[in-house]
Amino acid sequence: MAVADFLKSARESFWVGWKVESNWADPVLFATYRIVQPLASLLIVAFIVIIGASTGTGLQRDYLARLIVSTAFFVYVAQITTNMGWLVHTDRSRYEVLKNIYISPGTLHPYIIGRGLVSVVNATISVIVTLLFSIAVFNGILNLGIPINLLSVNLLLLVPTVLLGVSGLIAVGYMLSAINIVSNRLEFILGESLAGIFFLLGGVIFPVTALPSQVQPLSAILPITYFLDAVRDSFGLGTTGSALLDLGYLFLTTVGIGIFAYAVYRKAELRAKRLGLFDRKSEY
Amino acid sequence: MKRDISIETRALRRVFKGVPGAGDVVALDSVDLAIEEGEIFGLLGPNGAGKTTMIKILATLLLPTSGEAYVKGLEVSKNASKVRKIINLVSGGETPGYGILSVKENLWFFSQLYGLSRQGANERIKNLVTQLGLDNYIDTRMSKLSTGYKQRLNLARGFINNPSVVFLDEPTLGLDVLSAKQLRTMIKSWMTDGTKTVLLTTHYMAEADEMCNRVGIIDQGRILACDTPQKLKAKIASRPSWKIEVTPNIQELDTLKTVPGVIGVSEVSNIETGTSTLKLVLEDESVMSDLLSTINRNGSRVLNMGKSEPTLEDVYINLVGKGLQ
Repeated sequence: MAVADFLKSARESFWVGWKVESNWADPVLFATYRIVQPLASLLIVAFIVIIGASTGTGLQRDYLARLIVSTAFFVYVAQITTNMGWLVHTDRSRYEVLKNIYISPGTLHPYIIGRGLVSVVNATISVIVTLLFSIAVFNGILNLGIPINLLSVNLLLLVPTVLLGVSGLIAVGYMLSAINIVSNRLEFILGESLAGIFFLLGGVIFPVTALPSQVQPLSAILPITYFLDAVRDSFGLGTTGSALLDLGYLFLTTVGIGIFAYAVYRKAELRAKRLGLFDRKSEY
Repeated sequence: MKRDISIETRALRRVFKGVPGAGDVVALDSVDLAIEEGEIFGLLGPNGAGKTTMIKILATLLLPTSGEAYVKGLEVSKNASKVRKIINLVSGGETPGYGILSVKENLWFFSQLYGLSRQGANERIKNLVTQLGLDNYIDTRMSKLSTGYKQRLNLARGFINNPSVVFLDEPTLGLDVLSAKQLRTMIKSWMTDGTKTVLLTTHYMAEADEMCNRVGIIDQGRILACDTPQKLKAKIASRPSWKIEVTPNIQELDTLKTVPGVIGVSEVSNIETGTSTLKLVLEDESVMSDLLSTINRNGSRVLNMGKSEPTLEDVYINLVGKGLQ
């Protein structure tokens, strides 16, 4: 398929996904899922730290700043993996057009990616609102002096970091979609479980070096780890020493996960064609 | 004039793994078929005969267990991406798109998956909605459409890329008479340039008789007969077909099949009137007396009876020994 046709299909799939997922007919529900939910998660974690600090150790402002930035940007991970983990299921249970899309020249590739980009846009809104709200609460209302200055963010680092990060996450979502084509009801746990594992291993709450040595190699191969490191670097909150090195590792792991995801898709596609699963329907 | 072969299968076989203890299911058993360009080819058979399996293989959705399948000379397993550019598929009774999108938006989305230009897509959508009587619903959300109009949208989607080969799997399933007629008219007009090919599966014999240039009768994964409807009917012209209306409903249809000389029988019951209409294909007229005695012994009474011109259903009964219903 020509690149132009691929992009056209992805753009239209994005538009369909936006209509379907954003559900503009009910803006309250949209706001709840996309903004209030991540905001609540961040506030819970942040207040645990603040209350913990009040018991005697004192507030570690740098740590709290890293926590806020990491948790805010983790919204990309949570929303992309969860939403893309549900994509195949919702199509099978509500729209039943997966097979028609599959037999179009581009098959499912531009469709899955286009739908994944909807999650990127939604997550971007959530991240921005979460950051602004956090600064307003912690530095404005509570006057805690958290060292986050949005005006001094290194955009030359942040922009490629986010682009690479979401690319890796879309690759993960693409892999989840492929698994869901051939699996039976894994969609209920796959996306959210993976997001949970990434939360634990990606260095969101505590540095990767604080993890047991047995699981640290797992963190080392996850693009999420370097994504969050590089994001913190761009906010001037890095702890790893070299922002470019983090970006380099992010690039390598993103390429790696992309290749792995494509291999998983091809295997799943072959299995689905062998078993006749492309027109499977879900009814719950 | 000899036309090019548009769809071809060679010893096509597909076996599905059965549930534990039940054994494997042979959906297609060494099927050889050649459909010419410009043909509307009907595949007739009961549920589970292998019709949809055949279409799924040809539409690149399913791999065969063995054998080969070609669309426009392209082996579908090996050239799926090339095949997808020239085919489309419509399955009856399925959701045609996204409920939140309008008719136009759904068609636009699929037009873009096929890479149509803005102008080309708009023209195609306009033509299709006119041909299928969807003009007044073009801005209506799909979720607000009736079943019949959803199926019209489904058809419009299937023709959006102006495919060379289209697979119609029970396309009139659940449609009212008018909608079904409109669909048939649309397909016939689409076929007029002689370069298109349709593979149609249907339960409706009259539909196949009206639309198809040739018909293949399939049962248990095997093609039992393949010819024009006229020739198929002519083959059984020497065997009388009878239509007998009885009351009350026949309880034991199988007892009629055991009457010597009865080749096949099908029954349509009318619960409201408590009658059954039997269609029978017989070896010859001499079977009638034994048959009527058997009906009486079953406690049924003959209300009407008459000889009928052979239909595709009679051909089917003749080959399979039972009706489709």
